[in-house]
Amino acid sequence: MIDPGNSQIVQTSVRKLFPFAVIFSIYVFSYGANLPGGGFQAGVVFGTIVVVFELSFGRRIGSHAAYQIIEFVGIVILVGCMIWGYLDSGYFFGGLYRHTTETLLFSSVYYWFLNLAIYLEVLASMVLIFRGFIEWRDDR
Amino acid sequence: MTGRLFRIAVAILMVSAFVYMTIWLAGVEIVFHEEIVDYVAIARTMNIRNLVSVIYLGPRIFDTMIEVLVVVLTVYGMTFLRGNE
Repeated sequence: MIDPGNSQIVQTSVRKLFPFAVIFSIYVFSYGANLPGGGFQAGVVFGTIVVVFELSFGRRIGSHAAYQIIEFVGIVILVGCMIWGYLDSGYFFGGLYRHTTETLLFSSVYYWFLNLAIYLEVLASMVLIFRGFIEWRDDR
Repeated sequence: MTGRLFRIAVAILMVSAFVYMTIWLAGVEIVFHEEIVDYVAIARTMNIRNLVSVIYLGPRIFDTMIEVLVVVLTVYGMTFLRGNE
């Protein structure tokens, strides 16, 4: 059986694929309001390529603490949007949908922030959950 | 330090959700709406074109937020269990 951790083909492929996957994930979340995609899908793309990279090379990209901070920032943005909407209109998440522009990227500013929050939260959670499973040691 | 901050944040979120459900949500009258929500009109108002985003970040935003909290709790649970090993 081929060990992916020692396969030159797998390592080269993942190394070449990694930057494209990262850029694609940023694109998917950025244009999530107007094109197919969104924050959750983009976060899964980023998390998956990080997990594949770590499995292929046997080393980590970023520490646990870094991903916990990313996850925390995502939650803060999400809760911040909720409070911002409440202060603006009296309803949670309300009143912010009217902030629109003519550009495709920021056609709805509020949706962009929501997608960003979900993107950060999901990508960090994906990596942390997979690391938890991979590094789990059951001594029973 | 980061782990402690993470635990405090999750605890605050959980206590807030518990207080909200026990105090305010108990008095909410549940009504079944038979009319169809015009998502296209909502999309026009919000100036976006992805109807899936219209639904899950618009009228269903609280569902999305609770899904996010479920994922956070999964990470927290795994961190907690690994910390006890």
